[in-house]
Amino acid sequence: MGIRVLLVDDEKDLTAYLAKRLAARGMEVETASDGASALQAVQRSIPDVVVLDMLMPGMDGIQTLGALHERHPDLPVIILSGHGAEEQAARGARLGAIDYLHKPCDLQQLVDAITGAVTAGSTPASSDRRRH
Amino acid sequence: MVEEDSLGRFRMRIAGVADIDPDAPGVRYARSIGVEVVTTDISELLAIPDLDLIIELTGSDELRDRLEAERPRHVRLIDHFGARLFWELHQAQEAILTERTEARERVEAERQRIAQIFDSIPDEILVLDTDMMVHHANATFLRNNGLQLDQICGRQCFEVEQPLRGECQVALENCPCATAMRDGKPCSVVRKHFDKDGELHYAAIVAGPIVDADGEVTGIIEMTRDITHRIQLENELNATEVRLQQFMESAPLATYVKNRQGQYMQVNRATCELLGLLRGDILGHTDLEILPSVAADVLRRGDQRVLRDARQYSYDAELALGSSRVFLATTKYPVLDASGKATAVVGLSKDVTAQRQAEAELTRTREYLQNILDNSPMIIVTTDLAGRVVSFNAKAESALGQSSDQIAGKPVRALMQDPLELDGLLRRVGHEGSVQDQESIMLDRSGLQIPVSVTMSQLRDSRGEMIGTVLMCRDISHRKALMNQIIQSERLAAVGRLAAGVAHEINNPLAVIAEVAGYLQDLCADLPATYPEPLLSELQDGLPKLLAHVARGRSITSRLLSFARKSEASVEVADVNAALEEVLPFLEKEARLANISIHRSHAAGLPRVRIEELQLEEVLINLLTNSIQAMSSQSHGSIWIEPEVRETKVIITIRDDGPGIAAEVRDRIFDPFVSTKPLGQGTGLGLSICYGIVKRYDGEIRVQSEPGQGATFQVILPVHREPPQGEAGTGRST
Repeated sequence: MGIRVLLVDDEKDLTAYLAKRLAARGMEVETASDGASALQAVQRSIPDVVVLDMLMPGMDGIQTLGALHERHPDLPVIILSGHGAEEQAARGARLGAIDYLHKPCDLQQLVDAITGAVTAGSTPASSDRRRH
Repeated sequence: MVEEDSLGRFRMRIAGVADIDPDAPGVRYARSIGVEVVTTDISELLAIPDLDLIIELTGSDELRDRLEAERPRHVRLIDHFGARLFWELHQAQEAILTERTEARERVEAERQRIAQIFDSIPDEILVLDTDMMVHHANATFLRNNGLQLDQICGRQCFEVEQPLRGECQVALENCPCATAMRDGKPCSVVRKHFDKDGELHYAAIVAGPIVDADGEVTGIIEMTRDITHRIQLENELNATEVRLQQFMESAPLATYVKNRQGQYMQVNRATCELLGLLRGDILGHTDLEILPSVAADVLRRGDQRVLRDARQYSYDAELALGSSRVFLATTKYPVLDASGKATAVVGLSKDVTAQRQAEAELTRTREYLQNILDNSPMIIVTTDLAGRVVSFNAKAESALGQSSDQIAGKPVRALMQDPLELDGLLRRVGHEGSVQDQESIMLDRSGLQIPVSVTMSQLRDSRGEMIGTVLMCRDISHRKALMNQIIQSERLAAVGRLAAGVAHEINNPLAVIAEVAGYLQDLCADLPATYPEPLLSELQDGLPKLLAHVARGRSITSRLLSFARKSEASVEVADVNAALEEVLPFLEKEARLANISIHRSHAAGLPRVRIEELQLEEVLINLLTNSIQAMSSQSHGSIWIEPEVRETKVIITIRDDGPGIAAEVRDRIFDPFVSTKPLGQGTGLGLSICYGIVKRYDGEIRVQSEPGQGATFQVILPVHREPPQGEAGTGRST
């Protein structure tokens, strides 16, 4: 498919392996480990989808999301959050995140979410919002 | 004749005596007095030279004739006849003289007696003649004034009196002597003068005329009596009487005297004020005449008792006098005559109405204060300076099971579990004035400990002197229990917060594990079947297991997070059987894998319980999972689930025949992070979460177990009281 994905998460092993798995499914994946480098990466080349972890040190997910949408309002962002961070997830959604998933998340769910985000901008995952 | 020397008068001497009888008394006497010639021969007599007279006493005519014949011419002769005559004349003369002498002596004696009487009269007496000249004065006058009779006789009376007594009252026309003389009858005055030492004297002077047989005034007799002492006494008596009158009058007590008939003879001002009447309206009247009959009756009875018993009588009475009611404290006593009979009653009455009111007020205040003490929900004890109990309120009695009579006077430290601690607190109160909200423990009668919060302060009297201590103790048993609950809840809350953190932490490595594993899985899926066989099947076996563990980790964190999440305190209702229906299928798979059979008794008609359905499921899952896991090393096992209802509680008993729980673990089994599972398997939070859930709904979890004899858990929950139509659920039961 060639969907260009930017994975933003401070957990480097996570992004590394996730990137490999997504690449095995035909996606082009770039990774960033914090909000600042995420913005730089987007600056260099705009991806199709950003997958953003909400709980990061320094510039957290909300700030990064805000900054991203400031420059690229139409850029679809999927946010990943841990349990108990529903409020953040909700805020993220209000800020324009297309979808959100709980960590740890099922790979297929993520793939579906990414393809869904690219295709139409709507998410099929709303019914699974409370999966854990 | 001879003996009496009666001739001596005539200047004659007896020159000789003759008698026939030489021993005649006369002869003997003559000899004894030294008569010259004493003979029996007459011729000797005739021979006496210078003889003037011969007296013949023999009575013999013959002898007479002889003498007549023989006598010398110049010698006279008195014969016995003549002698006799002479003698009788002489005797008569003597008699007359004697009588006169005696008379004179009598008169003289009389005179002297009268003079003695005159002089011994204690009054001063002056005798004046009609010219007011001092004729005589008695010894008392002379002595008192230091005068001699010859100094004053013949002097004018005022000349004499003036130096003694100051101005004579003749000038004032008040002289009693002059008056007596003028009027011819006695006159008396009282005169005041200062003596030479300046002292005041009073004298009573009586002047009386000396009247002769014809009624003519021949002189004045003036008698002066010093009555200074009497006057002083009279004055003193008067003064005393005045003082007594004033005393009685001004006495604040109503003082009064009544006679036997009950008539008021004397009343003082206070009595008039008490009765509300004028003095004139009271005197002479009885109580019945002037007072309301009820009051008069009371007073009269008191009087009568005193008169009858002739003794003092004191009593208190409340009387309606005038327009008000007064309280009187009265003492009545009798005035007795010589025979001991009561002739009058003296009464002293004090109006003590104000006092009575004050006492009643005091009693009311005391009762009010006591009520305050007794209605207080706090234990209030006061002690003296030695630490002994003085007062003990009602709450103290009920809380400590002692009556105030039993505890009074005993040391207050006997009520405390730690007497030394109390001693320390008492010392602090002494220094600092008070001690606030100290937690301590009191003991009731049976030795049961009662946790209290003690506030102590100094007890001071109205002068500010410390007289003891006040202890106010609040029973904090409930508070302590509540505190313990809060502490427990807070611990659990802290654990909850910790858990949230842990959950988040766990999530990250879990996510990684998932991805790594997922990736390996992907690789494996793509590998040609030519990959070395053992490795491939190892990977194929291991990787799913890895994922399964991840899933379990996920479920732990999710449960942990739901525990950490604040839940609303809304009271929910659950059905035990329905909850079991939900939960058991979930576990059956795991149980079957471990070869454990679950037996469930179905209790029909089980009432609903007060707990949220999901929370009940969580508890059941936890307990059942624990049992299953405990028996995982056994070849097989059984679990029995037996719900039942007992009065207001539903008890769900979960029993297994697993290895049981050791005592030291059992005691701490509901504490967080206590786990018997090997390190890495399970966090030990399950049971403490269950404990928290059940406690929140006023329930209990109990555990019974002995090693080797399985374990029994009992979940006890309050029955939900189904409300009547339209009413909400009632409060919690304990």
